[in-house]
Amino acid sequence: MIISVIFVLLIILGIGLPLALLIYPKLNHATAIGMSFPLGIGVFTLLMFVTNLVGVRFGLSNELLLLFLISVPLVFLQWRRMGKFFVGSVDAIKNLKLMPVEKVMLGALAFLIVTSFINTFYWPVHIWDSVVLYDFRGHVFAETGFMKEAFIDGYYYNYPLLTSLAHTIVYLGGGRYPQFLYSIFYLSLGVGFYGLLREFVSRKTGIFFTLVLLLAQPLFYHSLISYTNLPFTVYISLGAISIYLWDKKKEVGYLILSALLVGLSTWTRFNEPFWLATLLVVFIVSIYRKKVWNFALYSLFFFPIREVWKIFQNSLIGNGTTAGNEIVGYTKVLPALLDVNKLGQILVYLYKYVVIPWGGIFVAFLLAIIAAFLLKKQKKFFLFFFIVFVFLGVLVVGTFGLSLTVDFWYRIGDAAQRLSMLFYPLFIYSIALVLQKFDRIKE
Amino acid sequence: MHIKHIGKPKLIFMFLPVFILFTYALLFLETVKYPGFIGNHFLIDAKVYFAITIVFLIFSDAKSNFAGFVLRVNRLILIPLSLIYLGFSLLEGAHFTNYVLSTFKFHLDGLVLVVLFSLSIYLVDKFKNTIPRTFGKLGPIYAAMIFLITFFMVKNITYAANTGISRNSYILFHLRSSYDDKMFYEWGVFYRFMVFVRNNTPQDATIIIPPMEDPWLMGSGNDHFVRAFLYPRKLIQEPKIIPDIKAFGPNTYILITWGKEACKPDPECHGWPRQEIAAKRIIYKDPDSTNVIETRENSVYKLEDDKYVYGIIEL
Repeated sequence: MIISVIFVLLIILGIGLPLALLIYPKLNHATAIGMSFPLGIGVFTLLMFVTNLVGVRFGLSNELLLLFLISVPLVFLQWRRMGKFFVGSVDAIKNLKLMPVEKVMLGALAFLIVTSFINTFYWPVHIWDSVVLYDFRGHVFAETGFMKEAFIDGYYYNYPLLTSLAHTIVYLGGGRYPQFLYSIFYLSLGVGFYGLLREFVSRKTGIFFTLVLLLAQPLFYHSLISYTNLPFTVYISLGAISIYLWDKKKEVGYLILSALLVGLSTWTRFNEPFWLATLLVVFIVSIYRKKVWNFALYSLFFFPIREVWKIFQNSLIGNGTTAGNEIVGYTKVLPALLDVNKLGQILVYLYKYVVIPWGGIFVAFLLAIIAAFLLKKQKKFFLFFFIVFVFLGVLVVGTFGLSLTVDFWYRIGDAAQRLSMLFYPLFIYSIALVLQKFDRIKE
Repeated sequence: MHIKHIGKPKLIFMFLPVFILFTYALLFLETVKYPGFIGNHFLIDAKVYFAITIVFLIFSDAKSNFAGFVLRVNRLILIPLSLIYLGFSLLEGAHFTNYVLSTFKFHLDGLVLVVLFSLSIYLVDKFKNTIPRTFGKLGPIYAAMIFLITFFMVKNITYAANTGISRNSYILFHLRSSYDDKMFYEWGVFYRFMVFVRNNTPQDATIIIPPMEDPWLMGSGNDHFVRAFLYPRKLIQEPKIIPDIKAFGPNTYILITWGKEACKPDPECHGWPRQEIAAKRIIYKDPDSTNVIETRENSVYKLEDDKYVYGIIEL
């Protein structure tokens, strides 16, 4: 198990961190740390996949060599920045003067994260979908060295491979308990969210809203098991927030970061069309800002990641669609939205399985929009609210599409509920933006 | 300075300690009855009262003598309450799930709310000066947002604290459990059955499994599920009556499986295979372990519901 953990740490330090610093050297410490694991594990598993396709067997020595070949140039390129980063981090920790209220909140966060790690290091993979699919593939890849054996029927290649290959890494290192990877995703979500929020709010407010986020029951629960929903949430939500930072900070690094994160979200779960939401937002902002090349840049980083799996899956199915056809396919759902009866069914379904589980935080998000208007800050936050509403639109249209293609759609409310947890970071980020001067107001 | 929309200050100070005591009473009642009892019988969930009390506390900035007294008592009982909760959680971890409920007749997931309520009152009272009571022109919207965020936190922290502490307690008392023990804990007798099959068949064997219908739907009749445990063995799914057993060559095994899901007519619908099969060997599983309890060489298999109901037939 120790080798597996060290391997994962090497991926974070050898790929994730230098890559994050390469993309945007001015990333704050928390964002860089928070992005390191999702970026590192995403890129590394993608390269494992590609190298295996060209005949390189999954094996500990082969993967270590691959890691060495990628990380050496990356670390070499970022050597100075990484040095500064570590020195800066140590100094920041040394000079950290926490207020008592911050200590209490950090204590609560520590409880959540430590509990998550204790449980995932203890329990083997045991949740149905993972035992049967994600972890099964990871096992077979590690045992046979190749992917063919695991793709027994269509069920086994219906989902992309990020989490399965991450499990493979653990098994190749001799570990039997790969669920700790999900605790790292949970930690990364917290640290990354804090970092992205910290660009606008004080440390205290940042810690508070990060605590609100990590307390969300679905996120905490999913950090204890090995479903793909938590990794997907990490990639898509941090990717969406990065778009907002790109526009506000006028830093193209955030745009590339977003493209990579959203791309890797499709390497985790492929069928959910939320990538379209980010693509649409980037397109509109690029046009509005008269910088169309930004959209081209986004596409340049996003599509190759997405297409690798798409092409492979199409080769197994024997046919398939292109990204363009998919987009056209989704637009065909739009006329069906005029079916009032169906729309009613969809809204009832979403209310029951999505809105009710969101609970108070969704209403708080709606109030945050009203608050933004009352504070006359609507222009400042417009883009972020727009992003969230485009995501909500995709959720409605996506559910509509599902209802047209799957007969038993209304019976899989738990799947919709799991998927909708990606909105927690978006809602809480919106609320935090509106209340950003929260702790500076003196009565 | 006070918030107008909350009410007159004096009224708040009068209500606050009463509300604290009232919420304590509700939470204790749920601990004895069951979590959700208040919501089921009086429409409003106890967690709503919890959140309202906290918001009241945030927005009140002076204390009556009675309020001060209640807050002091709260501070005094916080540590004993926490220790009692932790003690019972450890007891539960050392024994089995619902041990506390079955032995002491109260709900641990209710008691955690009482502890969290006490802790929240203490912390909010201590740090309330760091939270502004007004926010620009937001007025009641700000108060509503604070309430909603508080309610969200109350709902979720209850789950996180109870899940975290109960799971950690279990782990603390089962540090020496093996991988198989843990999988048995999660999957029960089905896992033992799969280990038994794995132990008694070669890796290149062909395993014939029952149809994907009740009572085998989510267990031995689900080929994806069975494959996860028996890989790399090859699986073949057959209907209730296997049409042509002679077509299978050597190194083929048929699962003997009773099926765990409900079906009708019960118990006649249980048990598979449902036909006589000439077997090279029949290996029956011990119901309480992964061991073999009986082996019969060169005999004919018959479905016997008074005998062992899990095993394998080697053709």
